[in-house]
Amino acid sequence: MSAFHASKGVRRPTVASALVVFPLAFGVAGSRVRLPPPPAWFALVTLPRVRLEVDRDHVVVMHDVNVPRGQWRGGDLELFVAFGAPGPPRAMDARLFGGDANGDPPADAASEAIVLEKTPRRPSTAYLLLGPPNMAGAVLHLGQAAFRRAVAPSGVARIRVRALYDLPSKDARERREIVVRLGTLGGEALALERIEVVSLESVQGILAADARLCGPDADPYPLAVSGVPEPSRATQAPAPLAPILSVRHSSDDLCVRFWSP
Amino acid sequence: MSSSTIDLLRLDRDVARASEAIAHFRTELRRVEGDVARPIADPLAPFQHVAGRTAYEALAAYHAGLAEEPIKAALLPWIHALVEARVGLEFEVSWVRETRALAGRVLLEAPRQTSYDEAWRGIVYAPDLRLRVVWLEAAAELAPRLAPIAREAKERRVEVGKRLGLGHSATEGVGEISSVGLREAARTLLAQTADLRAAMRRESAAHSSADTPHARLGAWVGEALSTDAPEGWPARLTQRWLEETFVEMSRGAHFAIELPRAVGAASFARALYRFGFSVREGGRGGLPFSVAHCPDQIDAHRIGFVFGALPLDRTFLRRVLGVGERIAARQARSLARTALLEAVWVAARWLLTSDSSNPTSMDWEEVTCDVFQGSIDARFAGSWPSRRGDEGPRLEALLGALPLANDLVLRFDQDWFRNPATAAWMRARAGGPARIPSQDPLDAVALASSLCRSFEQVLG
Repeated sequence: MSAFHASKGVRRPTVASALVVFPLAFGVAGSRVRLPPPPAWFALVTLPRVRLEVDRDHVVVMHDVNVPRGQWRGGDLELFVAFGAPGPPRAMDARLFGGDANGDPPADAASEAIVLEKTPRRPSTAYLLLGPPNMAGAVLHLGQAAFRRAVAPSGVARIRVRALYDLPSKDARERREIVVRLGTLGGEALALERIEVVSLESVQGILAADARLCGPDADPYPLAVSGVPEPSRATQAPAPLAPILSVRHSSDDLCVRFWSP
Repeated sequence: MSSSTIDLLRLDRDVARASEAIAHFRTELRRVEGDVARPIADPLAPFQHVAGRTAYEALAAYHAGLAEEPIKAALLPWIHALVEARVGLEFEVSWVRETRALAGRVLLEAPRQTSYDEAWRGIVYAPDLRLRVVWLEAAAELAPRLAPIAREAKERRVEVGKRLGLGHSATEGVGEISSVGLREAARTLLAQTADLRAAMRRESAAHSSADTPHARLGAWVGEALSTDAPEGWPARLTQRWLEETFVEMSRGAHFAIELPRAVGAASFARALYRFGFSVREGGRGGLPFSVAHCPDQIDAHRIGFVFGALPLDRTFLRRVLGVGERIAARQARSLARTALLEAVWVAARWLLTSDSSNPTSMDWEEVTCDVFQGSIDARFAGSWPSRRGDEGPRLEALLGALPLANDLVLRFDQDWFRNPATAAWMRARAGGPARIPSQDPLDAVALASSLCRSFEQVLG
């Protein structure tokens, strides 16, 4: 867990809690529970960056989400984030940054921890931030005072959600695939600006990586990934598209494949 | 603007404000009643830093990172468009002044002074061919005064393109189809619909008696209005009806639809076109302005054409307008005829106004003779049709509209317009980037031929 700081809201799961989470993640999602629609967002939320940090035995999926103040007039916020695939994360944390709306917060930027709470599905009062509402996930409890502080300098708060997963096993073509939640099924699709895949190992951590949107309406174009070389492709295949130029549907997820030794 | 420190997102916000300022200015200019005599303030004066050659060159020379490159690429056409708008502003105002000036006479029962603008409104709203011809004569008398303005505005546009090192104007040759491809497609559209148009002309009583240039043009305008399809739509020509009928599609979008005055069923089709256009342009997605919108608005026009073609669809006529099967069939045919005339006019208009095709007076005569199936008054040459700047994008959009409509049917079934899933799909498209790359390279001539075949199937 060198690259990961567990927050006080998430404990490392025990066997017993994992047994609870798995049925929630798969059983409830399959039972098609009808949920009330999520509250309408008070602003246009965007995803400036999705970053995968790959290590020898785990991968950290990091979502950077920009939440502008928009029409927010006060009150605590509950934000729902669904778990990705292949399964629930081993650990998760979230932090709140304020300041510059245009760039990534510097490494030493001040931030506040956001309290997380696991949940079998989106609670009715929670805004839908990432992923389908009827999947297991976590609710981010964002206090009014903290959000106000974060949006004060530039009008935009940056929420960074990190989830630590076991390294997925290789498929027959030596690839590992991870599904990153993007969509807010039933809500508005969030514009995605950048995908990064990096290796935390010093030598030859990742040989190549590619990414594409996946879902029933997803556009077929491969998306540009920064940080690692793209895999060799047939000459007829379309060139990767900058993520910002992709048409995002609310049912899309992001499928990232990478080749590691 | 130093090339080493360009804040692209700040530039993007300024481009958005400048674009809004120029759009507001044009709307206000259209709304001014009577002569535009008072001096008009330059709406781009506060935005010189995004509407000048220096800004364009600095941005073009800027080395953007991987993440910034799409924003830089999207900003360049905007700055080109804003430079062109700033340079052409005086001609826009001169054009409006000249078209509003009461400089001609219309020989109605009580002859009176009229303007070019009013004459064209008279042509469209005239109740019969005889009055239409009277208004056409008034318009033809005033048309030669406008040609020098159009000519000078074009020279300035070409000059702007040259100075920016581009060789084309802001909305030409910027889509997926090159100007050469558009020209071939436009010619194909005219050639392959010639027989069908001739057959329709033989069916039309107004056309068969039209033996003078004005009568020919007047009959064509009358045909294009679809006044013989009066069922189901007149009470629905309101923004409220459009938003209620396409309620899911309208959710969250910012609409500003200028609905046309009801003249014929073509007005209803035009309102739907504008609604489709607004669905795309009013979408919300959180992308930078210049990525979410482009000056040519090709995709908005494409969606506009798909919605504008809905009254040709019997399923739409029966299920949404509630007309009977027999009336639906009759109205669909009438509107298909209008759509054919419109498609041909979109192609012809591009041929006649494109800066890249540089049409001569002989070209004007040839194309108008083809469209109206006989010569029209030569005094219109050089001033009518006037250039609106969206001719290229509209032609490209027209060519792509049929594949998009077919795609919607494949995805969401024949009544896609009632399917909630279409709304989510359309909102995603509207909230996405303005430029959506095609999966395969576009063959403009094949697209034009396919459009012609679909008209033959409906009208043949």
